[in-house]
Amino acid sequence: MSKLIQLQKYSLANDFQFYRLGSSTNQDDRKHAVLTLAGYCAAVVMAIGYIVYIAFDLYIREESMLFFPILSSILFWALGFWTILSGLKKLIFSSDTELIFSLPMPLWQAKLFNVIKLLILYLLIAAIAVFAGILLHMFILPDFWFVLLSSLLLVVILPLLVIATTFIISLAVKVLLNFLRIHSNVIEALLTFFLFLSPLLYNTYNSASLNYKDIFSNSSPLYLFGIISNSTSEVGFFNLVCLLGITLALVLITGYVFTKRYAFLVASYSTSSKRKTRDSSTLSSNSLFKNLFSKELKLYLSSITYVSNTVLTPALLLIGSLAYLFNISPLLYDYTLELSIITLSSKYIFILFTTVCILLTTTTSSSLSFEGQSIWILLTSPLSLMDLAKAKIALNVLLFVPGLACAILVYTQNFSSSLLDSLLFISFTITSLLLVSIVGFFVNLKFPNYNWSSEMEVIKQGKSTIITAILSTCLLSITGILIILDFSFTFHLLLLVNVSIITFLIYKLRESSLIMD
Amino acid sequence: MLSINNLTKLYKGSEKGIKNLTLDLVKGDICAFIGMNGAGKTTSIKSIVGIHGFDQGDIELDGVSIKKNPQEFKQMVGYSPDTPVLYGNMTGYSYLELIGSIYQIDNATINEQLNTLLKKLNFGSAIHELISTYSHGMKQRLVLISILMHNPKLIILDEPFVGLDPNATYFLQEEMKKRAAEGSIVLYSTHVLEVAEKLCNKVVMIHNGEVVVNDTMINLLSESSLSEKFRSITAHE
Repeated sequence: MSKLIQLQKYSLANDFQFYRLGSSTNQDDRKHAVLTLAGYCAAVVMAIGYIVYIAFDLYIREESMLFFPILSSILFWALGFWTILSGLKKLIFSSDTELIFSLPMPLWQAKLFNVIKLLILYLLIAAIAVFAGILLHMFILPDFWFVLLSSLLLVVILPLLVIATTFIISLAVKVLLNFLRIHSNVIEALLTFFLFLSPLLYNTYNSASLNYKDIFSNSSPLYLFGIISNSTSEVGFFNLVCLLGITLALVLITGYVFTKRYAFLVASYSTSSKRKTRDSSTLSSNSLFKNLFSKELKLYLSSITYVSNTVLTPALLLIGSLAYLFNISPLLYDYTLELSIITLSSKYIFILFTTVCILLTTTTSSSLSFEGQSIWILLTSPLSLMDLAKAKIALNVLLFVPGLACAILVYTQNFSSSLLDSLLFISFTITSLLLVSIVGFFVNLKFPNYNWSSEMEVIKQGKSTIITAILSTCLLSITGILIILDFSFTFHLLLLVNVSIITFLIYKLRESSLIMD
Repeated sequence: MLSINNLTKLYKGSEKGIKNLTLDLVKGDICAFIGMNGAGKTTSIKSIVGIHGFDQGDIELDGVSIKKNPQEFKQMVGYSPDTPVLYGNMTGYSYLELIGSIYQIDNATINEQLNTLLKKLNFGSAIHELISTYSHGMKQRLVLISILMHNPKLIILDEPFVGLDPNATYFLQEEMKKRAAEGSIVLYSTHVLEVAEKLCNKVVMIHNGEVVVNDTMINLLSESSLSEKFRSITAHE
């Protein structure tokens, strides 16, 4: 066991870049490590800030008894969502798997190495969150010692429950799709998310108000995701025992599959080699764009992590627009949002919804980095940067085409006041999509990372992804404010801004070249 | 003609890299690029093929500068890396299709080359399988096909014989001779000095980022073997 602990210590220190910080003589390396650690610290501070806010909010409404159910619920859903986004494959094998299996340690430890690493990380997160909560409630809650003991139990239960639940759901989806002979990462990602989030979605749908307290307390693991009523607001001994029982059962299933069916897991998550064999060996296509785009599409679809992290907003836009199109609830067209001095009509809510979906994620912000070590192919090819940009941007545009088409249909049929208004909406949404795609590509060109060992390093934690997210949030804020203020020239202005930035970036791209420093 | 003038490329925050590399190679040359691990061979090669930018100097092929006209320059080059990381989710066939379209060669020319190369390298139906299922040697062979099918004027190979089976090694040696005889320039890095002695007419040795030998093979062998020369240069390491 000491070998496992030692190895985990080195592996975590490597993941958190402590070695770069401590022993690297390269200044760039140290700077990168400092920035990464600062990012993690900022995330912890923000999370604690949010916990303080919840505690304070519940305290002034005299609902402090709901604190731990809500906190455990937020932790469960957030960590579960993160685990699915990271991809289950990461738990089964990673870049150091071969090394770990070659070391003289028990086989079960090697098989569970990545699961244990994730568990340690989640235990740490849960402990920080729960104990921050305890400190805030030391003098408020009755039965403090019971709360303390149950919280200790919660710190252990939550990470186990998150990992076991997400693993079982992801694997079940994989097995089902394999059985149905459906090999699509997009379907797999959407179905996994839907199944995992279904208790939260169900409780949101049944919630009388869209208040976070109702939704999260109803969906709390402490109330067994809504199976046990939260009417008494108290978390009793029975709830904890039930949760412990469920967690143990799920952990046993997960442990069994990992230790006894590891080969099956590896086979399930390895790339399939089944392809139709062609008879001829003659090349048929000579279209550069077609071949580059086809390469992009294959690269994108090859990674469930990449798909999971970028398919949600296109899917949300499509589902939301279809809901409007088929008028599934009269609320959609009647709902108004009261802000302090402004009332937002359903038309503007729809415009904001469309804009948020389009601007929130883009595949292009990590598309160059995602090439990884195969980037040499593009670097040594006689390709112009624009040829490459077109193929990568086309992929992001393609993802949004179905949703955007529906959104345009909804707007022109139900919200548009004139032909000009419709044309402005169409032009604005299309240019926004092009803008965020070009911005993502441009930022990734300036901040590439081709030397990564885990896909998450570029897709979620990459410098270019973070910078693009900040830029698109700024863009979104400006767009939102202008839409809310509802000037007669809002769309004209936004369109002008979009076109100007796109033109400028295309000019800059034409001047730039793809090269490594 | 390949002309490298005072090429300098140093990595940020470190003294490692390549300093003032000057080298001229003419049509028909096969040049061995030799040095210890970390001497700067791969850095030089990556600068020549346009992967890395460089701090000083210039590289020209038939008068085309990689700095001023990288696209035209790269159109004339075929490069095989030491570790061929390819798109694992593509088949070998679709990879060749992609490369063919990037180099904009007409299908008839490519197909003629392709069928010959596939047969010579004994690829068979594996060309229609996913690259992720290929061994290191198969990936190496696929890269060789992809770089040879557009008839490059400059062929650059980074340790090309690593991982190749004896048949593929023989094919590659013969192909290097054939391409050089047809007017291409071949520059390759290697640690197998005995093969380099037989195959190359020029040799460049690099040590700590600097060129220490730049001569014809005949001249060098008149003094000592390649192996002896290498050991004398690196003796103090």
